[in-house]
Amino acid sequence: MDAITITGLTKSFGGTRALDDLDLTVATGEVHGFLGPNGSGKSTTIRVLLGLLSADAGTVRLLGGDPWREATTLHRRLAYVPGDVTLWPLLSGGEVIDLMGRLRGGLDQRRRADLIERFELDPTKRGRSYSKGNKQKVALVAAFASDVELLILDEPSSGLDPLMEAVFQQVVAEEKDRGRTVLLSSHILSEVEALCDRVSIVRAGHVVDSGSLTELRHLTRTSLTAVVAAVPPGLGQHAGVHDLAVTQRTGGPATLRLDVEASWLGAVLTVLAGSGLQSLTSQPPTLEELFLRHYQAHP
Amino acid sequence: MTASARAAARPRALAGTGTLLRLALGRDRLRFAGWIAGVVLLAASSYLAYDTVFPDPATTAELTASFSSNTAFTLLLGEVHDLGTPGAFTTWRSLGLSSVAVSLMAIFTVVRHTRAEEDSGRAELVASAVVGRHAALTAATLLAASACLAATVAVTLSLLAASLPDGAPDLGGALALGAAIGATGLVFTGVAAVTAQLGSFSRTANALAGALLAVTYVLRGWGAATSGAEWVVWLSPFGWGEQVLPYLENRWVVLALPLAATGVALVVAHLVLARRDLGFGLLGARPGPATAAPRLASVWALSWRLGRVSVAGWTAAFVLLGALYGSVTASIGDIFRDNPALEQILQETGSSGAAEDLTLVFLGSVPTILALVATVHGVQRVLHGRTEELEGRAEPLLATSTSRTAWLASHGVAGLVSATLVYAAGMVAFALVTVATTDPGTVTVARLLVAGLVQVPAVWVVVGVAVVLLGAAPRFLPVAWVVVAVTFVLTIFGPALGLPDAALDLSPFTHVPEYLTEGLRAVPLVVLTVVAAALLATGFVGVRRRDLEQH
Repeated sequence: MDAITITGLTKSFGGTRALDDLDLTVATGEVHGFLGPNGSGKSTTIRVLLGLLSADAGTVRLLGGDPWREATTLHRRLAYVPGDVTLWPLLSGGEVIDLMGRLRGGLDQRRRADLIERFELDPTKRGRSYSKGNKQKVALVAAFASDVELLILDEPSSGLDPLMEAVFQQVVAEEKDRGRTVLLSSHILSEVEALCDRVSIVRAGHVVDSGSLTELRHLTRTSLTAVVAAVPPGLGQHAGVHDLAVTQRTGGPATLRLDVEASWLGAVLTVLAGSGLQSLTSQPPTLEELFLRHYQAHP
Repeated sequence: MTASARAAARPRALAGTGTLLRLALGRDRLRFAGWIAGVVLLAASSYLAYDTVFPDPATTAELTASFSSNTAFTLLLGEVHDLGTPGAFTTWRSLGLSSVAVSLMAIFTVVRHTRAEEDSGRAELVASAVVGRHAALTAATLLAASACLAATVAVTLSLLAASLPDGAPDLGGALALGAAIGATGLVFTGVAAVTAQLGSFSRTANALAGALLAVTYVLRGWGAATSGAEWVVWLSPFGWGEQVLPYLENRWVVLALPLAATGVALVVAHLVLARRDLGFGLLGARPGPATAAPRLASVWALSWRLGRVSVAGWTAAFVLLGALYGSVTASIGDIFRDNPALEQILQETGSSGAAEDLTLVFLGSVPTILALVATVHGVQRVLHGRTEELEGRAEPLLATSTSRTAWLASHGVAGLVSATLVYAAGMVAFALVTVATTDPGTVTVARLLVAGLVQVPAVWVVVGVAVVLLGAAPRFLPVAWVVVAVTFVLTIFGPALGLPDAALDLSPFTHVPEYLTEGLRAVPLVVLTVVAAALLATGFVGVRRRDLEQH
């Protein structure tokens, strides 16, 4: 049984449609990345999953139950790190961690101590005295120290320094080894690349693409830099060729830079080989490119 | 750098004040309109009701006597000087509470645009622009002062308008009343400017200024009610306003006191501001415990933890208030010693002028007044729930196994419980001090406690309104304060003004039996409890259906 199944989810606030027929599936035991531009509906989806907002249409199943009706029982089995952590000004970090753990039904004390040390968190400071990153650490420790099946993390490491980011990635990897399911909403692509098994990309309230990174990579383009004796005519209009740039010193060889779609790679290489190919460099699609193309409105 | 270039490069301390002022005014327009409208309503309605309440000189004499002899009224509204003219009656009835309203408006305004801005971090954003260090405080105090001035003008104009049908309008009297109200507001503008520099949160600044307001208000009343202590009235800004004696003598020179006090307070505030860091107060924050106490394991415990300082403060205040009121009971009989004509008038008009009956009237009024003030605390605690929700602290709680019902109860039912607790503390203090200072046989502690107990369902109804709003319609929560204010006015002034029964019945306190004089009637209490339960139930249903809001 999947940890999270969402079909056709729609939610509007007044006149604005925040979620538009959104589908999402997170299998048990996987780390699922949830990406999208700002304002695309990621946090709204998470709030619907947590039973904080009601869906206008569509079905949502969380750990086999209905998050709106069975929130209290289901929440014992999950831990949530909000995108914008606000702590109670007068409570210390340690008190918040303990409180959240008790509200969930239990905290692993050894793990709590271990995490506090690894994240270099001072649990005696009051909520008001914490910097943004430290507030996030409090929420992270509270979530990871609990004994739950599902972790829902909404931009959990956006305020952490690179050292702590590395710690965070280690911790998530450990959770995964334990068999926990993680829904991770993030803008940090390196983190997504390192941690996630599968990824869903949201734009304007709708999931535009979903799959493993390998699958998604196949749909993108390879960057080629080729030095050829003569520019093959009509290369710019060849199927599957994008953004062709030609640099040529008079009389000398031409340097071509172009992006080629994966399915046309073979054909383009044949064309280049027939044009006096002197050198060829190919670069696999970068993750940025992959996501940026999805983030922007399709032409 | 040359001297002139250096001078040009140094930012002026007040740079940006104008922009901040305009920004603040834009945000607060509606709030000011609401407060000032309430104050104008209180003053104008008193003036207009005069002819209905005092149709002839005989009634005037009788009512003057009965109001003067009701010590509870003196404690609340100050000494009765003269009720012979509409202006004097309006002054007696509305000066005190209008001054409180304008002062609260001033406190909240100043704190909202200084401390609260720092708390939220907006001040940081603004201060990084070309804004002088003192600009925010100056803008906030200018805004509050302008609002006080607007209240003065509005009250004056409304009284002049109300007096037009009578013929010659008394400009001096109307202006004196308006100025007295506005000047008291100015004093608390200064007080709030200082408290905003202390303490680390806006809640602390509001609480400190509010506590000073409450203490000085009670002091004024106590000084007026206790023979031999009239000089105490001069220690309180509310006493200064009263001593201007609008419509009676219009002593303008007394207004120098509030103006001077305001000036001193503002100077102190700016001096402190120059010395502290943005975002911090003079009173620093101590480090906390590394682990939570075992009891901090539920939203109930959290709500108690967050509110315990407030409950402690209010309980202490109520104990003090109850004790003060109790200490005055013994001197009720002295009223006739100070004013012999009173006794005669009361006897002539048939209402008994016996000291025992007056004492009973007083003893019956005090629980009502205490209960009304306790509703303020209850509503305040319920409203904290909304703040928690808007600031995003309800979301992580509701993402655990906390149900919506438990969350609402931790704020709503907690409001009812702590209002009851605080009220009980005040009543116990009142009962003990009264019995200790009066002749045995006047009244027993048990009877007083029962008289207090019967008010509790009415408190629950008023706080219940706030709970149903928080649960079902949180956008309308400010209405809860309107309900508190209207209940206050209807209960205290309604009977005295001869308002129609339909209006009086709107206040739950009207339905509470007068235990000390009439005995116990259980039916109204049961009805009130049922109404309160229905309000709570509606709130719980509503909170399970609505979306959780943020910001």
